[in-house]
Amino acid sequence: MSRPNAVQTELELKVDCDIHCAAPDTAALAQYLPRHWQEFVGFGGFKFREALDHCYPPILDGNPEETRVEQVKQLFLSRADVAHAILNCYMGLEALQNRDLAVSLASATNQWLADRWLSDEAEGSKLRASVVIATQDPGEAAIEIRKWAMRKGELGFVQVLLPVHSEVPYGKRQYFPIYDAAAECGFPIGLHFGGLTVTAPTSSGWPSLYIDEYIGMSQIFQSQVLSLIAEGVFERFPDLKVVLLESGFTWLPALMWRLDKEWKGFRREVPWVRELPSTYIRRHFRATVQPVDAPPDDLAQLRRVVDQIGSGSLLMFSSDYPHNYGPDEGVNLLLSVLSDAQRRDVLMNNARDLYRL
Amino acid sequence: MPSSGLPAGSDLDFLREQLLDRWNVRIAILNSGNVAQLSVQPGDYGAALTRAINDWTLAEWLDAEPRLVSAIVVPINDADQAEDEIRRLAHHPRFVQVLVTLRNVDLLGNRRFWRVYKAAAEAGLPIGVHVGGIAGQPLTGAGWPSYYFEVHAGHPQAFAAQLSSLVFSGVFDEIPRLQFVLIEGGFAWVPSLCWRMDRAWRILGEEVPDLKQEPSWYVRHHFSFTTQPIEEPERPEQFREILDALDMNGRLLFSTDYPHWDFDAPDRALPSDIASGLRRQIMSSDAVSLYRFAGLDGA
Repeated sequence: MSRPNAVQTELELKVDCDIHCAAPDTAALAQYLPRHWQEFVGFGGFKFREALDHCYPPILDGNPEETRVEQVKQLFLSRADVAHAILNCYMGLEALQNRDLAVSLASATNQWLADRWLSDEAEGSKLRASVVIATQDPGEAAIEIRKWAMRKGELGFVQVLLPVHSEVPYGKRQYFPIYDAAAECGFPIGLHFGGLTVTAPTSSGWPSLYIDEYIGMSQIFQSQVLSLIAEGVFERFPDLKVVLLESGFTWLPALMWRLDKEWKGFRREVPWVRELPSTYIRRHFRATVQPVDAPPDDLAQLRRVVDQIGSGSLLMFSSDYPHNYGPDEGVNLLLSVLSDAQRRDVLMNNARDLYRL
Repeated sequence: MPSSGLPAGSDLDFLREQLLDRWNVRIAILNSGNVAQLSVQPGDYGAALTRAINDWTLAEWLDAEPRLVSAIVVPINDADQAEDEIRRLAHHPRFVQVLVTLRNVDLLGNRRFWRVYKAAAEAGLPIGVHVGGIAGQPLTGAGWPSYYFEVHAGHPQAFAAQLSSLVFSGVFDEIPRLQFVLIEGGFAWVPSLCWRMDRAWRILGEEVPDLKQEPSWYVRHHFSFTTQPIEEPERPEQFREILDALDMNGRLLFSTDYPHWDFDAPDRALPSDIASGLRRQIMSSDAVSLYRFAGLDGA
């Protein structure tokens, strides 16, 4: 990397499409819960937040101090090159079998985000956030989405967050109320790495190692892309956009080629899929750039992947702050192989247009 | 369909006429694709079924046609009996690999399968992993899909999970001669998976401290991929880009998937501009060296 990084980052404004806060603990949410659930939390000793602590190994978790609101504002949002950042608060609500509790916790989380993170003070005005929903109850989720969309201008919710690992693929009709509300409100669906479900993350059961589960998450992203296309979601909701968050993106060309080939053989089975799957992918999907799965010492491969994806509008900058991937130059390497115009699109324009910032 | 009225792939004369003679096929490997579903049948019945399939294959196909060789079907989830079956047949030169299914109740890196792999490696037989299988759990990591389109287009994701499981299990350090052939899953997805595995290993490698090499090293030294359904990128030159990114010269094996509907014809499967040396490797010499066909009739 011969680019003068310090100067570069000062001058180049960017939208960071994936930053995180620590999930609020039960005590922080209690004030936002209906009385019934406040009592439940009290007498049941319900501690939801602690379950999430097992999701990431410590080396990936980042410093918890860096996920508190004051620190994020001071350490991150105050940077001159950050124009906006999209806050994705992962709650793991899909793990709950009690759907009323999941719905109430989603609602409480959004209120907490609105009060603690999105209030328009200091650097807070740079923040946007994803609406947290309980996928167990798509009808209630649609109500929740519309509720926050009505206060979009005031608060800055811009997207609906879904964990990519689901029990039922996201193309299925049971989720359509969510897409109906999201499309009506101009919210993309953000599919994020992770998800706590009772079903295995591979078609051959549970991996023993976190590294397998981590790597395998990109296969789940691929299954979801395929499901959304095969079920005709984008014919039914032509304005709907889907953002792949922390998905990796170098698998996209092989997936597009495979789906296009298979579609030619199978389109009689799914006649509502009227266009090549790659056309839907390029029109309806966006992918965030962190992490970059590419060889660090062979920039030609990365350049080819960008060419094969073939659309400068598909990738959007993200840092995955505050998660710590160690000395990882991937995003800088990616930026270095882009043309100046592509670079501006990836850093800024694509996200600005998508989220109407 | 054969004029005998038998189902596709069940009439040896018709197979000779339609495949072996027509395309001048010197050696064809039989993988009992549909029958392999039975290999997940638990207990003695499953073991008896797989023995019967292998004996039937030998008597009805291999003894009758010298150009055919076959995989040994094993009840992989019953490691004792699978190992026995490999040892029972391994001496027979016409059995050239061990067949397991892509989808299984456990990922293939699981240590309970290693004794099966050891038996195969000692006999010099690669493990062929073929599309199919009954796993008892959803067909994708995102749950059950609705359409066959999704099932068929989704094979690469299932293969990727098995490949990753095998690599990080450490089985290739334990059994250095072990070889896997991934059948009917394509190969364009392999480079980005290798890149992801290598990157993940750089940050999470302390979870697998005994792994001796970079993950992609194991892929390049222990896996081969059959060609059908052949990759068809958007622009012709991208086929070469796939091979370049794959960086696995010698590990692509031509296959037709006869008699299935998505059969790849030997004269049209590979892009026409592929170099003749590479074409010869993919069409024959790589398989000859992997399966050690040199001593067989027809090779």
